[in-house]
Amino acid sequence: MSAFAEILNERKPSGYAWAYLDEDSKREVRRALLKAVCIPGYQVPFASREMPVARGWGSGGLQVTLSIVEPNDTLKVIDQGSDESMNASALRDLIARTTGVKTTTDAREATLIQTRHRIPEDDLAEGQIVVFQVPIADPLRVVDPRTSVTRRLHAERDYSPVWLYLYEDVATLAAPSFTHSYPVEVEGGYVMAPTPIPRHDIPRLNDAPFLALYGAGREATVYALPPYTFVKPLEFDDRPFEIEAFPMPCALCGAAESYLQAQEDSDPVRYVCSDVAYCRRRRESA
Amino acid sequence: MTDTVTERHQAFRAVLAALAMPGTRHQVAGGDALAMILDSLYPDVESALQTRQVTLAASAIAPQLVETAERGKEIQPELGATIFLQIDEHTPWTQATLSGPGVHITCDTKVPFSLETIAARARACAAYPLGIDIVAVDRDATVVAFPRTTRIEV
Amino acid sequence: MGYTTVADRSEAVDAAAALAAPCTIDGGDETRAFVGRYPLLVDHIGAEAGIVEPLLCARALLQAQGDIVRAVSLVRAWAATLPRLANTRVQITELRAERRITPAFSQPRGGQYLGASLDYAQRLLDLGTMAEGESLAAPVTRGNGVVAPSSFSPAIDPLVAEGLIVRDRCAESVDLTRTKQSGGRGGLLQLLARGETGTMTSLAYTAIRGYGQRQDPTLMELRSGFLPVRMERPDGEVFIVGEIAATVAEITLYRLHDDNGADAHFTLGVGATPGRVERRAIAAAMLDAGCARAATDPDGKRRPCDDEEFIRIAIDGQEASGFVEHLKLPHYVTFTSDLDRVRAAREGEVEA
Repeated sequence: MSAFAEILNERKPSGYAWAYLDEDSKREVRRALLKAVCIPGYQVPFASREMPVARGWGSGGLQVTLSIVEPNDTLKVIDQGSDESMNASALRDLIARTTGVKTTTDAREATLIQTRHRIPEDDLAEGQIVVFQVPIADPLRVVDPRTSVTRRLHAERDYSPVWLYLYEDVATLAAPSFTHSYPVEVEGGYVMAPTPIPRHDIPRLNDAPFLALYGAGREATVYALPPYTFVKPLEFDDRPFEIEAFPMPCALCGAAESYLQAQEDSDPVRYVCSDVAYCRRRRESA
Repeated sequence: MTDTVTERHQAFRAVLAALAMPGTRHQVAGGDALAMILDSLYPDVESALQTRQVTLAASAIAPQLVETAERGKEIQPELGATIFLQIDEHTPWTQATLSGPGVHITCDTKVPFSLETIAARARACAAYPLGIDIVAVDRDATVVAFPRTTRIEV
Repeated sequence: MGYTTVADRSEAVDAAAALAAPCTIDGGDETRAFVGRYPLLVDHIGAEAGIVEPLLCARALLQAQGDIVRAVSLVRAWAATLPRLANTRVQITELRAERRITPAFSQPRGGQYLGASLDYAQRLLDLGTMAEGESLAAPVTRGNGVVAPSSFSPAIDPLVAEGLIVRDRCAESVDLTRTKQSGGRGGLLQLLARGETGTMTSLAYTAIRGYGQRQDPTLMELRSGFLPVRMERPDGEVFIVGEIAATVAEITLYRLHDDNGADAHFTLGVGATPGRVERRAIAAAMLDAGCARAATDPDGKRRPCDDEEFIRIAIDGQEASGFVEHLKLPHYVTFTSDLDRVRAAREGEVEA
């Protein structure tokens, strides 16, 4: 078949190609992912496509997932830790509808997890892939808005501006002001933006058994953390990295080490797991 | 058409898994595994092979190939070459210990390179993030890969 | 996906037929009537989407309940996964103008033609009662019977010949939807051609208003009409596949303040848009000129309107609106982390 005929054949008169994207768009993402995995933490540019979700709503994570998903995958999609979030549901629907893959809310069962702002509470295993949706891909954006400048800083591995930023925090506030999106140093030397996951989730990235892929659609870059890669939050020796503290365990399942969410509509305010599926499973098996 | 599309997905997943965990082997669905892998990555394989970013080696990767391969630039380390090796009965194997990102502590395994090639590769990858990445496809359609971050010690 | 040489002759014929086939996307009477009634709105959508398909754009706007940004999203997403079958070429000098004005020149070669413009119509809201069946948005009638010459030589040509205006900045054409490179000036011009209309207008306004480096712009020429579109066949012959509506503007910036006397010249900016929304072309020309002026002074202070890097970030409507509206997505996990830090700071916690 000629190249032209192959193209026409691939286009279905109704509906979409398997995994939505055309083949060349997937190849573009895959070539970038290949290099991303070989250079942990480094932002690899790619020609990001316009997607049926708006820029800023997961178009990058979606491009990564659609380029790597296989028919045998079991897919989980979460937002703020919840499978039930509107945006997570819409993304899961698009991926499942164009691939037919099985979906699940159980992180232990999923082979492919697309997430916004959280890592599932469950211990993950070798062979699992977590795709993170990325709003701001560059950890140095806080020190300079210009990509031309930050790319050069990464090329020189000159991270003094962000260390200075941290130092100023520690000198004036006694603690780093980074909350979520805490910058981390990756084995090999790159400083990376872990996406707006809470500090609670940062230690999970270090020497992890799962593969972490990061897709930034608007900023048109992907990056990756292979399993068993050392990842350390930027910290001064005498100002150790701190995770969020909660005044009480989960009111629903009793978990004391889960990342919690305040429920303001109860009086007094109570805290529940942000990982809704994890919490529900704990309650059901209790 | 759909079968070819999903085959490409599976082929790429095997490469991704192999690069993510150097030393482990991953199955590509039957047929010409190397061709399927290349097809999952490049719209026009012939043009891709003419760039400094993509190289094919049959049977063995000569040390000279490693020495002259593109290593990338500090501002664009992703320009470092990917060398695709088709393993056959003449491929040299060397017992080695792997370590680095993707390897759980260390991994003892046979790598499809001669001692000279291993040494050439170490030199080519000495100035991280510059370096080359190797994807090797075996006769049983399994793929094993060595990103530039992997230390190979004999 | 670049143009692929088709070796098989019969497939070449099929390929040409497929390319020449009229757009089959048709919402019927509703979209056709919409295009007739709101041609400038349809042009606006098409320009920002970077796709010339009026019926499709009308359909997108109807589906989007009139939200321009959403309509552009629909069209761009539709186009994104379509194969790129061929590259085509247009020559701005071949624009078959229905309208041509030259504010810089009172009597340019070829003359000036006002065309179907609302510029001088008073902006008075018509509150009169309408007869039954009558619509405010009557189909637009084009022109007034006066036919403009089929093309004009650029009004600035004599000044270019004299060396007062220099056309020196190379622009390689690039498809920004398919490349990860910034594309140099060609990339900038494409971004401006697809830019968000309000953003471009606002930035160009700040430039004229004084935030630009002493811009003093003059619009040399504005042409609006139809551009022939050419393609190359496998045997090398070039042929015309059709025409698109387009508007082109050329602006010069004047400044002698720190120019070298004998080398004094005007800076030229060129802006273009598919369709007939003129402020898009004018704003694009303004921003191109501002970036050109700024490029001659690499260490000079930049304001947003002459900061090419800033413009490239700000100008795409889809990136901008998507990210702005993404604030509506849940952010309670991140906000919880922020609360944790603020409470800790207030309590004056210090690590031992």
